[in-house]
Amino acid sequence: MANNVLLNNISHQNLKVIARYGAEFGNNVGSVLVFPTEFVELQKEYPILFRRNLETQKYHAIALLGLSQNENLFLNPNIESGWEANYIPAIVAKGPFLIGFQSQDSGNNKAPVIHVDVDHPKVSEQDGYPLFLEYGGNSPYLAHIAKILNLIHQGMAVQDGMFDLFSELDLIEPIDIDIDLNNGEKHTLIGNYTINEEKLAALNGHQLETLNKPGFLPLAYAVITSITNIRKLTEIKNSKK
Amino acid sequence: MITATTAVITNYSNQALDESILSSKEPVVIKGLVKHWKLAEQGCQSDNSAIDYLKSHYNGRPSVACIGAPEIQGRFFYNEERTQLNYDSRQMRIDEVLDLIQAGFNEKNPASYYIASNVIDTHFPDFRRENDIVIPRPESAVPLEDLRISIWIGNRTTACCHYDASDNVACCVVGKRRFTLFPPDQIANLYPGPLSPTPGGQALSMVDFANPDFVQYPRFAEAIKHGQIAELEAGDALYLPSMWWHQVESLNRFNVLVNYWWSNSAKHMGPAMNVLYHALLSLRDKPEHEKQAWKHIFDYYIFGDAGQASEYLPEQARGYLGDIDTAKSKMLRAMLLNKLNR
Repeated sequence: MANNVLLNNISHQNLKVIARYGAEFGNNVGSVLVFPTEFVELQKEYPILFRRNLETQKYHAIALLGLSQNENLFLNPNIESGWEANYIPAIVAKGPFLIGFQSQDSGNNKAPVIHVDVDHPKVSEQDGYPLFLEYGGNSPYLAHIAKILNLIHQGMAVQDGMFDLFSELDLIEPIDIDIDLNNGEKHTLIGNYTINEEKLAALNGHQLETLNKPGFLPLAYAVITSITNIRKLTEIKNSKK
Repeated sequence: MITATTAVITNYSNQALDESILSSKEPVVIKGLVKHWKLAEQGCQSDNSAIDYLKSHYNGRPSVACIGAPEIQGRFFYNEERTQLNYDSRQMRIDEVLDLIQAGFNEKNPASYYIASNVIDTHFPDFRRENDIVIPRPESAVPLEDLRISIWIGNRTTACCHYDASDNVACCVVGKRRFTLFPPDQIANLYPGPLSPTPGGQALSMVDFANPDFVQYPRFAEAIKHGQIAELEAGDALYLPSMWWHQVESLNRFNVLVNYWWSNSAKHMGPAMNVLYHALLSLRDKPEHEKQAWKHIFDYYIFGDAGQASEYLPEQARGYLGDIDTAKSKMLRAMLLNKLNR
């Protein structure tokens, strides 16, 4: 069970966090939630796909990490970080930390604050990076985590607007992914959506402007480009067999 | 008790405030400054008209209400252990609070309700069209602190003695208010309490002015000699210079104050209170002889004439000792953040 508490430099002065990734930390998953604020980095490594919540009908984005639910092809216990990629999705990189919101003096403003799951397997007083400096200042690792949490926070704030606009312009389409492996195995991944490249190319000037102004046009292209990473997944999978 | 009264200007006819009043740096009551305000006129008719008027300008956004049990008799202070406040703060709609105050009109001993320092424009967007004064601000090369205009609504309450770091024109629009004032040099005689928690961010005097305990707080007798009282009726305003200690009593069953807070200091400076906290960390407990030497150093660099530490240096060698513009303030802040993070 998670035990999330507000992080502070007195109770948690000696806390350390393991920055490594691995199956023992629950990282062996076939996909993770990702945010628009990281699409441009993600597209260099992972296929970015959309999925739809059946109840709310809302879209969210995921990065595909493997061909089945419990397979993360990027995990590699033989390298130091344990994850073979140049960019790690923020939801994974944030480790045992969460964003919380705290009322300020007047009660009307809520400021984002950092929470930590003190029972998380990455958290201890022995192993990993310290969170605080000797006299209570923030460690470089904590500053790095704060940046990642901020990226998630910003991403959550823009994602509904982005999907609404993609839907409004009819850019989202279902995609079935067929993968044939060298050993003859066949995988079909269903329930995913992507951006229809032809429809995107057919947008008129006004529509393009609407999409570009809030910064969503490059994100749409990032999603399209990212699909080529399916080949990369296939290659890793073939090499592991 | 205190017998001196604050200077009063009567027959004030200007709609705008005279700069000479604000530059005096002495408290002064300006009789009738806001008596022409729509809310003051409604209040003259009846408390209920004033309440209706406020409701008609309210946009429904929740605020934070301070609610005190009848036993505290409106004195928003600490519990016996001095570790917690003696009242509740609750998020509420302002019209609900007005209803509760109104319902208490017929009670002998009603609970105390107080909405303190609520920014007007966020909750009463059109209010200032019919109720406003102009605070003259100087021209400045760098942006100065913004003017903050707030409304205070409550029944019979006492805001215990504290100081604010901004100049203040406090306008008693409905009801009656009594300000008990002390100059900044009286701090030790007023026995300021904990730095936190506090009701409004400022430390309170621990002395109960209505019933002073001269055994526990003997120096308060000296403060009394330096104190003064400003009585405000509906329509009157008080110019209260920044850093003056003040207790504020709302004396009627319904009272509304509107106040204008400003500081003609550059925005990049931020609160001087941060300096005090830093000094508590890094200066107060240094060896005595070192600390006393630092006093000379602060007198020289900070409290003396701003130019004296650099006027004999060539312009290009003055660095942070010279004028601090926006760019230099950013460099200083970055340096401090860096040095503090250890």
